[in-house]
Amino acid sequence: MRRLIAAGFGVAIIVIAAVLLWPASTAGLVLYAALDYAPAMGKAFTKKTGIPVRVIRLSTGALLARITAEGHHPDWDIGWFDGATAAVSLDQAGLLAHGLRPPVQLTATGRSMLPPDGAYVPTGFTLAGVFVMNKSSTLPPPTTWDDLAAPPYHGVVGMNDPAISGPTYPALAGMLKHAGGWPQGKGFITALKANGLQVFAKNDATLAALRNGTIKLAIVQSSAAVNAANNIDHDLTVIYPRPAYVLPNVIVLPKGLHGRALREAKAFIAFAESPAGQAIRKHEGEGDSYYWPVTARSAPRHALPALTTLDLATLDATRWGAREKSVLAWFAHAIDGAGS
Amino acid sequence: MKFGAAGLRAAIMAGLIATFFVYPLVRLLVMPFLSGHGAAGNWPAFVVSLLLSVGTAIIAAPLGAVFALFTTMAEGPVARAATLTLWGLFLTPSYMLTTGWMIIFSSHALRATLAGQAFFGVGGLLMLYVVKALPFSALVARATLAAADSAPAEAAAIHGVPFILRVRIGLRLLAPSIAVGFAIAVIETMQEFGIPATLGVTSHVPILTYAIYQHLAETPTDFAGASILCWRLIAVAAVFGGLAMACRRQGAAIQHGRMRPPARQRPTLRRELAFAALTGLFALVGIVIPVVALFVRALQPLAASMPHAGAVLRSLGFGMVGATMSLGVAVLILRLRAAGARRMIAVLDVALVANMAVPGLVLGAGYIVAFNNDFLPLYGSRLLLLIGYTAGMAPLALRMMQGALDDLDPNLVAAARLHGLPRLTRLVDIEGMLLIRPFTYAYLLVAAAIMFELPVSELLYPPGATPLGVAIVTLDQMSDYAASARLALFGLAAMAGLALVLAAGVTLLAAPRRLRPA
Amino acid sequence: MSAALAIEGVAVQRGGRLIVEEAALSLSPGECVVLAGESGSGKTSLLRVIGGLNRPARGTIRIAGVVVDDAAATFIRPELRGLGMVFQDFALWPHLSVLENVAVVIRDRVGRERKALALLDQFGVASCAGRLPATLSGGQQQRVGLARALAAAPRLLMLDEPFSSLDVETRETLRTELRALIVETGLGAICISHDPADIARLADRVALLEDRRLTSCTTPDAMFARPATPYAARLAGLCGGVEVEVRQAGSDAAIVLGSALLAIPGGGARLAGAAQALLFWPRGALALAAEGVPATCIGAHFEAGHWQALLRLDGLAAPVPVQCTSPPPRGAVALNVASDRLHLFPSSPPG
Repeated sequence: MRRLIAAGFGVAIIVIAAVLLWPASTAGLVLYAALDYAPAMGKAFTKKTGIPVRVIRLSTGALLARITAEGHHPDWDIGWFDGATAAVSLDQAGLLAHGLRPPVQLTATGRSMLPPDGAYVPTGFTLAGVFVMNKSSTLPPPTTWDDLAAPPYHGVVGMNDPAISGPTYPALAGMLKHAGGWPQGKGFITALKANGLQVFAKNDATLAALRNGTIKLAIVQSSAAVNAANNIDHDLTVIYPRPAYVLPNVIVLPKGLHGRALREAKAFIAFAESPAGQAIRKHEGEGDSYYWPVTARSAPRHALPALTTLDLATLDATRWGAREKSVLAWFAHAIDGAGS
Repeated sequence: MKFGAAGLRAAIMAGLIATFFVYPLVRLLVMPFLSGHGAAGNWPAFVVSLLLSVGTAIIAAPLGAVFALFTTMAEGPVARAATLTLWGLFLTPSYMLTTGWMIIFSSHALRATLAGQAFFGVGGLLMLYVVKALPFSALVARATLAAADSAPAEAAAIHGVPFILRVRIGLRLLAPSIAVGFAIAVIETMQEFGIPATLGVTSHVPILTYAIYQHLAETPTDFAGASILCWRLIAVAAVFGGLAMACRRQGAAIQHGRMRPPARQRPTLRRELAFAALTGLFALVGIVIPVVALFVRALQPLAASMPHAGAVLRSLGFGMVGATMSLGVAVLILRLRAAGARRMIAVLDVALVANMAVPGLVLGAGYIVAFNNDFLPLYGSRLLLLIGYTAGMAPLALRMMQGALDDLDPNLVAAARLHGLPRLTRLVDIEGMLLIRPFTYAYLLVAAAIMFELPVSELLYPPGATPLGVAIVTLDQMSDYAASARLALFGLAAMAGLALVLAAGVTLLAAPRRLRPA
Repeated sequence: MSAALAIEGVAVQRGGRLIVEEAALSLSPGECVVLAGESGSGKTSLLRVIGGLNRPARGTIRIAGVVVDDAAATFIRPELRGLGMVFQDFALWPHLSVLENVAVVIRDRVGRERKALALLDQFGVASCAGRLPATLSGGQQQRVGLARALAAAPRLLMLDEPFSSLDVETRETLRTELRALIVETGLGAICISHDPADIARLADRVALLEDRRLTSCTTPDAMFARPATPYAARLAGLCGGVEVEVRQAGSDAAIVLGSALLAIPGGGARLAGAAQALLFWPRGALALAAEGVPATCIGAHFEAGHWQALLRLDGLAAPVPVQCTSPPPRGAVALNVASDRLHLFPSSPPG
């Protein structure tokens, strides 16, 4: 009896260990994705092509850190996330494959996002930072970034931490660029800090702070803002700053990907840009479904304003990607105060 | 000494230690020298953390000594409740404690109060740190006290030594306990990761462990910079660890062979009440308030979905397998010790002390650097995560198993051998059954520690297999406290379930067959 | 017929220090050797080496004619040596019932419990079969211990101070039972003890472990007649131990006892000049008398049917106990000394 129970326990541990450690199927593609629609896209792609896709959902920050840590021994075949600047950072570290072909029928905005070496493919875009307020708020709605340094906004503005929230660096870069570039723009951010700027971890945390009254104005990514205003709290309203900085979502492939895996990964890129793929992204993408396509074959969701009504600006991904490390280090030191 | 099975075991053990402890640490710690990375910055995080740790220890060490004194000397319900509270505080993962308090201060009204302001600054950190450090200093002080003899104090009383002198004798007995408690509190606080990781950027105080984590797992990653910070963390552990050892030795010098532990006495009502208030305060701040907050928020049907639900069972599995591996390593080491491989024992002791000075965060960082190459491409695998857990928990497992073995009468095992019992019978029916209760206790403790582990998990979890701690902290960062509270409570329930199943199993196993003689 | 146990040239180390050297001992089936020695003399270590729980540094151990350990390549594990052992603290497995404690040791699975019950019955504890050891008295536990030792069908019985945890009455009964058992089963037995009663009731021979060596291995009556060392003398029942001065008186030695000089036959120059420990038989060696060596009685107590006077003699550092039939008077008394009942030993051992 004792031996039976002891053996039973031993077998149970071995079974659990086997289940935990059983190697995942190596067939097919491993997709590291920071976008809500990735799992649905993976399934649809497998259904269409028969190529299995293992989708690993990560936050943008965790995804980028993970790709960096894996370095030249990547466990991934496709990376899909927000931020051309981040892609440039990875490329400058020598981690990305080059020569990816751009999608067909690119829009003008889409063309403006193309990298010279084909290190990433833009698959759509959101806006790096928009303003979200309560409709009932007595705060005057700001129109441009400069307004935020004014007295009415003292102590009521919150943004994400660019070290944790991947899509926030482009927003920060946009603010810096608007204020004269790097390092001249530092003064503006320091002025915001002096005006009581608060920093939260990610979009959700900043929006939660807005809803519970800790702040009165949140600077978050447009997709999170529109999703919150349309699906979570109808009392919220989104204000598009002038200018609003374009945040491309991009697909990257690891350096050294070759043969069948490379062919299959390219097939996935094509599927992501196809009308069928874009339809899935818009219907099963939760917050991330609020993006503007970069191909002429697809239209954005209705809740999004027409691009013609916005004052769009793009960031030079190469230049701002190269600066990312120093900008973030400065921000962590001067603004966060935490961690560094 | 013959080179036989013990020699082989020693060689395997040495290989494991070299591969999974020495090599990754060396790889990590030589990085700044190889890369010529001169980022000697980040001093604020170090200085602030050190000041906070010392401040925490200044508060926690005397309180810990008081707890230790009361729980070893006094009898009655208050002393028992105090012991229970200490273990409760010890076992509550720091990020759950922090999550509970963050839930409370997530309301804007409370956040705006003076208490709210303080919570997200040094005050909050100090409170949480003291709550977490208290059980460490108290339990360490208790171990030192339990080994102390009552005779000097009694002799002083009988021989009519004046009161002041008696107090001095008492203090001399107590001083090593307080000093050891102080050193341990500094080390534990310095290495604490769950609290700053949960507070994250909402706390505007730079903390060393969180800075290390940011260098490793957030953009931009900077391994050499992390390595420099790790050096500082280890240096503090080494300095205060040395202090603790010196104090313990000092404590041992005033003990002698035949000792009688102090007799428990019912304390005076006034003392009992005062101590009840102190215990109540810590139970409230460290257990009751955060757990109630978790419960209340978990019940809110704000968002009925529970993201990362799979993390509960996954981490339970990690805990069970990891605990098996840790205890396996512990048993292997103890057998090596028993076999008396002297050089091996010395190596093991050094490795164990070093392992205690190296927090999971540093070990995890070493693993990322060391196991991401063509020879050992383990990074990103569940196996490496499990090995990381095992390496981190082996000292705890070892201490617990050592205690169990020390309590076991060696003659019981000798009797089984001398009377010719087959190996399996000895292993299962005799040794196994004799050790099953302490073994199960150690197993549950290690399994729980792994299930709720944070730093190694954060750094080493394979994509797509988020462990429980990471899931909870991630949800905290998204301010989804309802989901994080639910996850935490489900985790606790799962662990309680495992404990119940194992307890039932043990009862079933250990019950003697009460035969009616024919 | 080969010896139940034979050890030759055995050396035992503990903590890197040699604690037993050149031990040699042989015991026949049906014979009981009591291994005596002071605390820490290495008795238990030697027994553990015989059992195979530790290895010897040198020497050979044979059990029933088979070499079980030669301190080199040959080593037969304890579980294969065919031993039965009775422990001082019983060492019954606390989580097993009494019956299981005995049954688990029986190799043959067929009829295990019946055989175990029969053994328990033999030792009078069959009624406790279903109970846990902790619920038994010390005597009952040791009976179970004996039953367990026999259940292993051993070729050699080892006993490590088997009665020291028991009360006087239980000791007496169990000693007799054990003696009968050894004689009737024809088992060889080696028993560690420092109780003179164990030697008297159990031992065919006594082996003394003193100063790292097995100093003598002799029958109890030989040990009583000519105790070779102070320790053997005390085991034999001699008392005293006070240091005396010895002078040469012709071919004899003479001890200085107070103001008197007492001749010790045959000592001569061998003893003279050195300080010696004086041990004597409690009865007949020293007696209060009308005249003799002057002494002072400083007190008395009643012990085991006799009065015991404490006498101070000039020149002796410690008082001397003397048996007498009635309460002795306090103050000046005279002491009659029968010098043939005195034994002198060098007061500090040689070497």
